[in-house]
Amino acid sequence: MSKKITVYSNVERFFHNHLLHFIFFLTISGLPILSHTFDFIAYGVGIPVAVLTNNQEVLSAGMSFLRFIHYASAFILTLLSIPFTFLMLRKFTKLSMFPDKWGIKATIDGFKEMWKFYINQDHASFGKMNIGQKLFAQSVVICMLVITISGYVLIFRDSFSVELASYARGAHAISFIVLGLLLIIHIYLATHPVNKNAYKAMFKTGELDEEFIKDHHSIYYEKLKKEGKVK
Amino acid sequence: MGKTTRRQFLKGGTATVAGAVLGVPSPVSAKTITTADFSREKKVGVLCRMCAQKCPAVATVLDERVVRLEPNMGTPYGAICGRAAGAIGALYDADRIITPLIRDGKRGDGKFRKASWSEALDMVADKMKALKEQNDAKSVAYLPRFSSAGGMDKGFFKLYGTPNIVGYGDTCFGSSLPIGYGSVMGGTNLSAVTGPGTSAVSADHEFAKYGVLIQRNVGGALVCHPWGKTYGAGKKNGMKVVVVDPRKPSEAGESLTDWAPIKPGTDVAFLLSLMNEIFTKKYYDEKHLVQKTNADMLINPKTGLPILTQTIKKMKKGKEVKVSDYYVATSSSVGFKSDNQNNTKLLGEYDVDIDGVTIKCKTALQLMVDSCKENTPEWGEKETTLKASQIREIAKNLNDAKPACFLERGYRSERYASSLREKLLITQINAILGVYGAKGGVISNGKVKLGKTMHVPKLTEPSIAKWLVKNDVNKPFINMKFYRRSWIEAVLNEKPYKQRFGFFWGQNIIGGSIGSTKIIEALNKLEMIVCVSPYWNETTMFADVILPDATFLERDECLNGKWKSPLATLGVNRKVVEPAGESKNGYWIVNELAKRIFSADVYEKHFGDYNKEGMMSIWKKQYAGISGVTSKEKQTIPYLEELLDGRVWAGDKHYKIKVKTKTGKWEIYSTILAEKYKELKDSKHKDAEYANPLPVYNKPFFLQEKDKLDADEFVPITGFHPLGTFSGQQTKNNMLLKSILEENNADCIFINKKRGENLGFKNGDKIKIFNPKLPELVSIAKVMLSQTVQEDAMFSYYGITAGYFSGFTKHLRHHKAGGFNPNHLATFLFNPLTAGNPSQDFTVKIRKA
Amino acid sequence: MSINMKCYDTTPCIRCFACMVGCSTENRLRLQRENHFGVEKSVQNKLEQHNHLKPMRKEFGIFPNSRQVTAFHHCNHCDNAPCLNICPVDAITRRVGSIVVINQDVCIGCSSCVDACPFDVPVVTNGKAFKCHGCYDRVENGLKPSCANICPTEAMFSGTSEDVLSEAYKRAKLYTEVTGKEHVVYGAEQVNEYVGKLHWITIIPKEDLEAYALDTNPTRGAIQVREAVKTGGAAAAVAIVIGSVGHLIYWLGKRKEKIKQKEQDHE
Repeated sequence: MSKKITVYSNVERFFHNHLLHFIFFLTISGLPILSHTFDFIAYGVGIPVAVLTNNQEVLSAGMSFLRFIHYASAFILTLLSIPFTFLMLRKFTKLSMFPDKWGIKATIDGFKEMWKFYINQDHASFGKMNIGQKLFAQSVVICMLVITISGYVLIFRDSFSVELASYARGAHAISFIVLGLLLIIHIYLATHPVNKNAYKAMFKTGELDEEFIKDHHSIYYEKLKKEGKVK
Repeated sequence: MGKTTRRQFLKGGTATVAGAVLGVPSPVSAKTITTADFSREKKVGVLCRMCAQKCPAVATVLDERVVRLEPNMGTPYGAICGRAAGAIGALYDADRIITPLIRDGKRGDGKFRKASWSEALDMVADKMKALKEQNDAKSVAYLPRFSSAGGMDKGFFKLYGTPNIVGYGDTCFGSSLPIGYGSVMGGTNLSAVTGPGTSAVSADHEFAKYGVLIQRNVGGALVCHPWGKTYGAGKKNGMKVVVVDPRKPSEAGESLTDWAPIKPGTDVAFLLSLMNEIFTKKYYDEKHLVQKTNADMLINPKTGLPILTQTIKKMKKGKEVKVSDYYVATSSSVGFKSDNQNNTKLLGEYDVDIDGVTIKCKTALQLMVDSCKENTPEWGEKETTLKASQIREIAKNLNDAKPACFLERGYRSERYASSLREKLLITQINAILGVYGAKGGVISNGKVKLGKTMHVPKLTEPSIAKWLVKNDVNKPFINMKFYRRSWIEAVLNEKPYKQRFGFFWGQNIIGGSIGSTKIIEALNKLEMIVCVSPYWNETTMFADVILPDATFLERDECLNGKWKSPLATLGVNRKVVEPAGESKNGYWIVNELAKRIFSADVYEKHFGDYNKEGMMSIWKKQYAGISGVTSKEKQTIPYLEELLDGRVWAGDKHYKIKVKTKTGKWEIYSTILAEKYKELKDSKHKDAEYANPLPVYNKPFFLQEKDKLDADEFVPITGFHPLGTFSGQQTKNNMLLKSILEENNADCIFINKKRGENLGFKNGDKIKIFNPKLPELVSIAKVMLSQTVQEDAMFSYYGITAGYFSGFTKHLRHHKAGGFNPNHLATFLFNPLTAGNPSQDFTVKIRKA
Repeated sequence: MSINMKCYDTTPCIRCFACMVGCSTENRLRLQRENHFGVEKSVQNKLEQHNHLKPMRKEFGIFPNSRQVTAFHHCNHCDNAPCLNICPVDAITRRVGSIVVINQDVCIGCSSCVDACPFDVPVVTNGKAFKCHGCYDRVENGLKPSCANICPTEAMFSGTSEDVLSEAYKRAKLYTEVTGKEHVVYGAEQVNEYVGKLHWITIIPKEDLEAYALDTNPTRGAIQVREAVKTGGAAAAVAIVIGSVGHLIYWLGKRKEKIKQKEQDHE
C-alpha cells in the first residue's frame, strides 16, 4: 500500500457535498422562473400544494412554493458559505484555482497537457488542478458572487431602483446560465471513469494515493515534495 | 350573506386543478365579467354638487352603495370632472357630521356634544320665535351656499320676516362682474346696481378661433357642463388661446396655448394697452360699431353725458318698447340716431347748438380713443412686464379671428380694487370687436324659468344691502343679493340695525372671504349661530348648533333650470341612497322648523302641500310654471315623470345676445356709469374714477401703496385646481382626490425660481407666510420654486390646504392642519363702489420656517 | 371583437385629472364587486396600486420662456408586451381586443414584469402586481374604459383600432396645420422591436415626445440580454451534452485502442 495524501479537507468535502444539494434545490426552484420550458417542475410541485392550499392556480401555487424553496435554500446556503469563505480566504494565495505558472505560453501549454490527457490519453503533467479545472473554479467563484449579489438585490428590490433590479434580474439569469453550462461539463468530467480516483476522494476518503499523484499530478507532486509532505 | 360569487364557485375543488394538470397548460386569464355583473348596477340621475355647478350626472348603485358617477349624456354638453368622479369619497367621508351637535365649550374650540334632532331643532326654533316675538325678525340673517332645500329655504326665512338673505357672491362673481358687463350690455336695475349675473353669457369655444383667457382659465375653474366640454371641443377644433396669468396653468391646456406672464394686479394696464392697439390699428369694424354700439354717440365732454337724448317708441317682437335715442354726427350735420342709422361719424369733434349755445361734443369712440392714447403697448410693457410685442400680437390675433374670438370675463374674479375696471374693459373690448352674439364669440346662456313654489308676502323692512346702497356713499354698486362681507360689517357696526342670529347653510364665511379676524369678531357678537352642513369647516367651529345636512346623493331636490349653458337645460337631482347616520335633507329640516315656528294656519298655508305630498308638491308647481323657452322648445320638454326618472332636457343653441340698455345698443360708452360718475365727481367722492365710463387706469390697493415689492414680498395669487373647490369641503377630506393632488404638489405654494433661490429657498422648504399688516397671523406652508410663476406672484391653489384657522381639521383624518389660505391672512377691505372682496389685493412676506 | 384601442390627445386635455379619479373609483367598485371590500371602506385608503393612470409634472425652460408639462404615466398595452412575455406564471394575458391584463389571482409578485416593462408601469403591492387592465370588464361588455368614459373633453377616447387610428390621424393633421408643428400619433406605428405597436396611443407634437416621457426606443437592456442568453444557453447546453457524449464515445474507443496497443506491446 502506498501512502495516502489528503487532497480535500473535511471542511471542503462537507461544503462541496452540501453545496451540491443546495444547487440542486436552487436550480429546480429557479428554472421555472427563468423559462416556461421548465413549467413542468412548477406544475409537478403545484399539484399537492394547490390541493393543500385550496388554490385553483396550480402553476402559481407551484411557483410560489418553489420560490419559498429558492429563498430558503439561498438563505441557508449563504449562512453556510460565510465560514467556508473565511476559511478559503485564509489560504487565499495557496488556492489551487490560481495558475501554477503565469503567462500566455504557460496557458497554452496547460491546454496542450489537457489535450494530451483527455484526447490522446497520454501521460500529462498537471498540478492539483489542470487549467480547465482552474478556469472552471474561477468562473464558478465569479458566477456565485454575481448570482448571490443579484439575488439579494432582487429580494430587497424595494431599496433599489427599478432599473437596478432589472439589471440584477438579467445578471442573475445570465450568471446562472453560465454556471449551469459549466456544471454540466463539471459533472461529466467528475463522473468520467478517468477521474474515478478524484471522485472517490471527493465523495468518500478525501485522499489520493501518493503514487497516483506522482503519476497524474506531477506538478502537484513536486510541490508536495518541496513542502516536505512526501519524500 | 348567502351569496355565492363566481370566485367561490370556481375555488370549489380539485376538478379545476386536475384539469389544469391533465390538459395543456394554458394562460390563466383574469375573470371574465359578464353583463350579469353590470346588470346588478342601478342608475339614478343626479345633478352633481361637488362644486356649485350641478353638472348632470348619473350615479351607479351596487349593493346599496353609490359606486360611480358618470356624465349624463342627455345634454350635448354632458360632462363631469374629477371632483364628481370622486364624489363617493365625499359621500363616504368617515368624518362627516351625521348627528345634530350642540356646542359644548367656547366658540371656535370645536367642542360639541351629540344631540337629538328634536333638542337641536327646538333650540333653533325657540330662539327664532323669541326674536320674532321681540319684533326683531330682521336680526336673523340667512346665509345660504350649498342649500339642500331650494324653493323652500328662502321662502321660509322671508315668511319668518327677515329681509336678510345674504349670498356669498360678493367674494366671487357678484360685485364687479355684473356691473362691468351690465353697464355695457344693460340689465335689470336693482336700485343702483345693474347687470345680469355671472352665468349670463358663455364663450362659444367650439367655434372660436382665438381666445384670451384672462381673469379665469376654463380648465382650472372647471365647470364641465358646459364650459369644460366646449373648451375641449374648441381645442380639438384648433382654437388657440393665450393665458394672461402670472402663473402658467396646465389646466388651460399645454398645446395651442400661449402664456402672457403678467405682473399680478396689472390686468387693467394690459387691457388698456390692448384697447389702445385696437384703436391705433383700427382693428374694429366701423359698420358694426355704427349699427350695434353707441360709439357714435355725441357726448358733452364737460358732463360726460350724451348731449341730447329723447325717448322714442319702437316695435320689438310685436311689442312696443321705449328706447332712448341719442345725438350723432354725420358728414353734413348732427341729429338723432333714429334719423341717421347708418352713416354716422365714429370719430371727431362736432358743434351742437342747444338753445343758442354751441357746445363742442365728441363722439363716444373719440373720447375713448383719447382717454387711452397714452396707454400704448410700450406703456403696457412697463406696467405689466409683458412684452409690447406680445400685446400687439394678441391684438392682431384677435383682429384676425374676430368675431370668432373672445376675452374671458372672469370668475371668482373679485380680486383687486381695480376689478370693476377689468370687467368693464373686457366687456368694452369684446363689444368693440363684435364678438357678442357671434358664432365663435360670446353668446347668451339659456334658462328655463320654473313655476314659483311659495308665495310669501313682501316685507316692508329694507334688507341691509338695500339700506347700504342708499346710505353708504362707498357702496353705491353693492349687490342686493350677495353681500356677506357687508353683512359682517353690519354685525360689527350694528348699522342699520343689530344682527343677532346667523343661519349658515353650507356657507363657510371664514374660509371663503377675506379678513378672517374681523369675521370671527363679528361671529362672536352674534347671539346664536346655526350651521347646516355635512362637513366640518372653519365656520362650523363657531356654531352653537350644527344640523347635519344630507349630501346631494342622499336627497331629492327641486327641478333645476339654470346652468351656465347656451342651451336652456332642465333636470333634477334624485336621491340615490339614504342619508348617512341621522343626517336629513334640507326640506325635512326647514319643514320641521316651520312646524315649530309658524302658527298652524300659516304653516298649513305654506307648507301644507309639502307635508302631504312631499317633493312632488314642489316639482308639480315648478313644472306647471315652465317658461322662458321658445314654444318650439317647450314642445320637446319631457313629462315630469321622465325628468324625475333621470332625463335631462336641453333646448337649442341660439346665436343671440340680450341687450338690455336703454339705447338698445351695446354701450361701449356706458351711460349708466356716466351718470354715476358725474354724481360721484360732483360730490368729490374719492373713488369716483373707478366709475369713469372712459378707459382709465385704476390700480389695485397694493400698487397704489408702492410700485416695487420688497425682496421677500409677494402678491398671493390663487387659482382653482380642477380637483379642489372653493370653500366647499367636499374635496378636502377626500382620499380619492387627495392622492392625485399630492402628486401635483397642489398643497404647496409656488414662487418664481430665481426669486426663491435669491432668498435661499429650496424645493419643499417649509416657509412662514405673513401679511405685514397683520404680522401676528403666520401660516406655514411648503414652497416650490417654479419657472412658470411671475416674479411678483406667490401662487397657491385655492382652498386646497386648511390655512391659518385650521382648528377644524382636528375632526378630519385626511385633511391636515396648516398650509396657506390667503383669505385668513388678508385685511378686511372692500373694493371701491362695489363692496366686493379684494381677495388678492395685499402682499405677504415669507421667511424660512 | 375587433382590436380595442385607446388614444390620449395632449391638445384638448385640460389636465383636470377626471380620468385618474375615475380610474381610482372604478377600481374600488371592482374591489367591492369581487372582494366585498365596500367602497365606504376603500375610499378611506389611498390604495395607490389601483390608480393606474398618474400625472408626472415637469417644468422646462427658464422664466418667462418656460412651460410645464403633465405627462400621463400609464400602461401602453404593447403589441409585443414584454411583461406578458416574461411572466413566469402566465398571470399576464392578452384579452379579446388586445388588452394586456394581469390576473392578480395568479400573480405571485415576482416582479418580473416590473423589470421587463420599459415604461416603468407595473407596481407590486402586497405580493401582487398591478397595472392598467384597460377596463377589460367594461370593454368586453360594450362600455368605454372608465377614463375615456369620464373625460370631459374627449382628450381620451377609445374604440376599435380602425376608428381610433383614423380619428387620431385626423386630429394630428389638423394640429399640424394650425400650429405649424408636426404632430405625431405615438404608438400607432411600431415603436421598436421590444414593444412593437401600442394599443394606447398618444397624439402629441413630435418635438414634445421626450418632454412627455414618450420613449422612441423603449428598452430594458438587461432583460433583452437575458432573453438572448437564454436562447444561447439552451443551444450551448445541447452542444455541451452532445460534446460530452461524443467525447465519451471517442474516449472509450480510444481507450480500447490503447489497451489493445498495450497488450500488443506486452506481447
